Amino acid sequence: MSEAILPRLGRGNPEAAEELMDRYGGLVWSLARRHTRTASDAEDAVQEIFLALWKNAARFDELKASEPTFITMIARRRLIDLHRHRSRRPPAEGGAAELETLTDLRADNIELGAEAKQAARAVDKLNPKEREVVLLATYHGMSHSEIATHVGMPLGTVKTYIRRGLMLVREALNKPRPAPVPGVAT
Amino acid sequence: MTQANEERALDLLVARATEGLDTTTERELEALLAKIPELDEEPSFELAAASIDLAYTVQQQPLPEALRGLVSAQATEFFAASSAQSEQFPTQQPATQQPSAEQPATASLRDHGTVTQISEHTTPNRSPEATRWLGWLAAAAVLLIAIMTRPSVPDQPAPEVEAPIVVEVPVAPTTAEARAALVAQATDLIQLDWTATDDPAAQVASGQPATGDVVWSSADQAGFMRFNGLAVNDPGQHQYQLWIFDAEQDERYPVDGGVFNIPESGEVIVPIAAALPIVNPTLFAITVEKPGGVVVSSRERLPLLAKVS
Repeated sequence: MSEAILPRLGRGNPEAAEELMDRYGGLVWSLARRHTRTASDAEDAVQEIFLALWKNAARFDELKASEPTFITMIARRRLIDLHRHRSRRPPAEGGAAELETLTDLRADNIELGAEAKQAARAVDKLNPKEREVVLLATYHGMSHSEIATHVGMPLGTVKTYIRRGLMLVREALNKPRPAPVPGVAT
Repeated sequence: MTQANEERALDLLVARATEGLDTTTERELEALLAKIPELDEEPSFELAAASIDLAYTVQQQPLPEALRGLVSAQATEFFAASSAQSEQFPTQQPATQQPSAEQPATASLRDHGTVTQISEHTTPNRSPEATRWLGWLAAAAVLLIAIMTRPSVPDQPAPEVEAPIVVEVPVAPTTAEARAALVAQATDLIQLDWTATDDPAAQVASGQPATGDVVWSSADQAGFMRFNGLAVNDPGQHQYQLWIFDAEQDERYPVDGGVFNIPESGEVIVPIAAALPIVNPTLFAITVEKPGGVVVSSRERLPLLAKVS
């Protein structure tokens, strides 16, 4: 557990901006690369994400989300917005095999956030097809219609699967978790 | 509040968390949540989606050094402006406006004169090192402005009215402005007039079929549709959907160009949201579909067409 950076950033401490990049630059870059089509788009996205983080830092509430989850949420918001203003990224090629790989990798990544661990457990409760659809919508950033085409399902079924998956994760996140130590990210 | 409205609101919340909403559906969601705010309680669907994304995210690459340098320069600029502003107006609300979180940051940074494109693919003549220095120079310029606009002699009374530091605030372009910009800048622009069919949606006024045009740039992967006289739709009953036929793809499977609404009579401009990259478009077709659109259209109702000659 390390000290949260966003509260200091929210108070206008410019040094915290450097620390934020030190700790979360890789996360932001990884998200941007995965959710955009080109390196150039990812570079633009990273700049927009960090600006959004500087502006929204004061809104961070450790009681509602851990720092990495909050940062991921802000990043996704900007990336989704960029998707809507530019072309969407090509559909992911990966199928079941890639999902297995993701599951293997996930275990090494648990320390990134308390919610991530709860979300992973909830996603594991979904059946394989539901899990695939939910990950295509969240991790791969595909639109619902892209997923429908990709997996050969009616759009309505895709929407139902995504909704069910997110509601399950929502319920998991709603369970009480230890209160954070002031100024310390979980 | 009907069950249908609650279901619709949940669908839109999920859509917002995963693929985003257009302006029309965002407004629709806001209206629904004003009536049933409990649906948007924490933890939000956005937080749920972010948690899943994070759970599977593997940090394989660090932030590229040149990009980090650029963001660092932008941070200096951002906090210098904020600091100077708070020193000048300690008891007032910030007079120096910052770009809205909803506005594209890249555009605002470009307006500040900060170089944002560092990709070697897009700026082959500018090295990342040079770009980094340009970023620092921009930040230094802002700092210099901040220093020069402070009272130079502390003992002297400050002038009653002092010019505030003004950071240019880019206004998010309207859809019409974005369309105009694309038309002005795109070098491969396709512009086609709609051809109305006999479908009632395109024949609202007797003898005056719906008109308008579609513009598309494959280089920018962006385009807009403009409509005049297309029937206003009830999103709960049906929605319009654009299909783009691409010479590079099987014509049996046109690309989904996005689901949209016509909320009012008069001119309506809708951005195209192609689900896949469009290389060589040959035909744009508007169909009338069930709410949310379809994966494969039966093409039973096809009010407008625009064909590349």
